[in-house]
Amino acid sequence: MTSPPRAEHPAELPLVLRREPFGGLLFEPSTATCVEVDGEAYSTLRRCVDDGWQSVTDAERALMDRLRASIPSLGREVVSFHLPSERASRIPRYAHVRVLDAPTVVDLQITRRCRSGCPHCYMSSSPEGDDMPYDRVREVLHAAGDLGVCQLAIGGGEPLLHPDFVRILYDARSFGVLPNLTTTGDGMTPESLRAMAECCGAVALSLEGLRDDFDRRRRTGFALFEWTHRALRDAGVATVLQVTLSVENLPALPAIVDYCVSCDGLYGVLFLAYKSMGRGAGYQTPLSRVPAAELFPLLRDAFLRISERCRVGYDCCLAPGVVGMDAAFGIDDPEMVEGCTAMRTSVGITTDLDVVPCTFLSDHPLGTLREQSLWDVWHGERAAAFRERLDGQVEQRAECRACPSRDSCLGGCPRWDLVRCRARL
Amino acid sequence: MKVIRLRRGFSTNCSGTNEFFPGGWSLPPPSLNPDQQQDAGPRIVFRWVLPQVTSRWSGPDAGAVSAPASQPDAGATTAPTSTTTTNGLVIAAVVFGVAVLVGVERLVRALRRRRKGESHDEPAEG
Repeated sequence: MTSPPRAEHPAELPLVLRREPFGGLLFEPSTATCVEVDGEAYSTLRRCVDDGWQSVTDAERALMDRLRASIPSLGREVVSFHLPSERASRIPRYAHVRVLDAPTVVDLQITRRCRSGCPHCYMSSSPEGDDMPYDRVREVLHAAGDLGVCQLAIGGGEPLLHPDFVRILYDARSFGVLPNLTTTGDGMTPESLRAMAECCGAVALSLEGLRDDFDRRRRTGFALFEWTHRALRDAGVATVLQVTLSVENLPALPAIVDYCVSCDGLYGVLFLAYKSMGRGAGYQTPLSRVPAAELFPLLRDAFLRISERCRVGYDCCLAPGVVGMDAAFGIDDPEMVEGCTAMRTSVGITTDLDVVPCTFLSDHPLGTLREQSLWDVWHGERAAAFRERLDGQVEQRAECRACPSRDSCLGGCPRWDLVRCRARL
Repeated sequence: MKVIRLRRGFSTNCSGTNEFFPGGWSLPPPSLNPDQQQDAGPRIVFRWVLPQVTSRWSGPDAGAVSAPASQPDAGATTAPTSTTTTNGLVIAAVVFGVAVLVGVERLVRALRRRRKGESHDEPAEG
């Protein structure tokens, strides 16, 4: 029997150390671990890097031990850090939202081309969709690497159909940015599979239904989904299943959970909320129609079952729906749930080089890389106005004002009414 | 000098907004160790089938869906059968059926013409 392609990871990506308004952050790419530290700790880390980890005091050694528990590679003799150029931050302090000096995640739409024809597609992707030219992609990757962006979430369209897909993955790593992506598997070749295995932190496959239900949603079909999943797993790619929930497929959630639990070698399952936009506008009904008292037990049961096999995640748009889980599970970290990250830690870039808060707000550009740098857009007036609206959201909603989780939940998506929280039973 | 918070997880979702895999909430993935995967049983052997035709799409990419398939010796793995494949088979069967019917009809007509012609060519007796 012929051996499948094996992942031979190229040189490891460097750790990212960045100064932030509250201190700094340290990102370790092989596990996508991001540690935020205060100003004093950041200065210590920075000095240790500059001095080659010499003459550390007991207090500094204690900090290193603490960090090493989460980032074992910090203990290596040689750790390669990427230090972004020092720039003057113009990010003001907000009452409720915490904003980084630059994004840690860039959602990069490299193509609008897709052959799946999903009726729920929020991007209205089609077989005739255009690609972002390779040179433009490379410029974006260069800009992201220059700012110390940690991760890319490559999307589309179907990213595998971009003619330079493989080059883009290797380029991302060459600029020190960890690429991840979402795909249907359509157009996958041995070369692109090998590139994903060598370059990507994780690859996600969408799953809103099973078998016939899946086939009704995607021309590429459930069989290709399963085949792609096996191919990724066998190539050693960390694979995530993304489950977008709506009123219509919520009854199928237990069966979807059964399926996820039955999958071997899964890295994680991520839940998202359906948005009625693009070609998918009106196709289904957002979860906001479901009372939290009905939704919460389903999400909790899904979490309890899946977390026995792999990681479970929730897109930040679902934050109001999972607020309170920490208490229900006895978790003592009130910040475990994180609300909208748009223009706080993440940003979207479309094939037209428009910079958007997230790809679900593609009609709300805050600038364009055709005329501005990513840094200038991030620190621009329109970005500030977006953050002010997000910051004021929890003050405007009565149920949020009294909520102890308001500064982590942030009141949900600023654009769409996607999901109810426990305060809005 | 303190750690404020820790987040762990690859960002894959197409919204680009945050997702998180809270390490404290869940167990590590069971089968990501490459050494374990070496003994994971039958594997897919790669063969790529291009293209599979569908008549439902138009435009430059029509019919270019490339679905991978397994080779006969690939053990328990089976080739995916997409709806496009099914449609292609149905269309092929219909086209073949119509072609057969047309062929049969032409053959019958030719035989009739021949029979007619032969009767004209018969020498008159008498």
